[in-house]
Amino acid sequence: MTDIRIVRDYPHPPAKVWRALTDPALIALWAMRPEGFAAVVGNRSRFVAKPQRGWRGFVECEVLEVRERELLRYSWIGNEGEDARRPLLAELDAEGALRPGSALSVRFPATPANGGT
Amino acid sequence: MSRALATESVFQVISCPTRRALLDTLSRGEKNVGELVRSLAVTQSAVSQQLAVLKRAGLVREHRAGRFRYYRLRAQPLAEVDTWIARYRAHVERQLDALGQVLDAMPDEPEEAP
Repeated sequence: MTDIRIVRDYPHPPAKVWRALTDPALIALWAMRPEGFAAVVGNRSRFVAKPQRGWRGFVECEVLEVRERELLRYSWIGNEGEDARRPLLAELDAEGALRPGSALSVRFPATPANGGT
Repeated sequence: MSRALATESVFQVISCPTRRALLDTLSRGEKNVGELVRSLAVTQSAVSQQLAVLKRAGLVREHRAGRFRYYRLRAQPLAEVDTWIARYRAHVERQLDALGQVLDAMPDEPEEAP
């Protein structure tokens, strides 16, 4: 299935965007609260929020690929039985951005995690 | 629960490249099996098998005209896919908005200066 891609330009250098993407204290400010996250291949962590009806309240994450200040790819399992082979990808591109800035491109699969074969 | 199952099946149906190719071809107008086999370069049995799956999922409608059966795209079930993508996209967009606000509030470190 095709991926969905969302690209954002931020007027900040890639090193700073990378810090916001990988520093647990900063991640908690814009996403969920990470438990045990480090931008290191093989790292397994949880992202925790309030449980809701139909959602257990945390996401299990495994870091699959890291290129410092360039690329972060991780699996993202929000519910039991979801397929870990469907990773999320965050790519940073300083070239494509309005200078001085960064283009952050997020890719995710265009199907729910339990819907594929 | 049956609604969730129906949603899942549409996603399963379109996860197969041959079935997506069939839907693409049928989106340009109705066709019979022979025409589908020629335009997709797959075997007739593969086309028939995948058409049966598409019919069961309500994505394709069949009708007879003379010796031939014709197939037509029925796109309504794909609205489920659109809904899911729109919801997920909105979620990611909200997080990226929040990331922008965090970045604006973060001081630059010396080595991060552009």
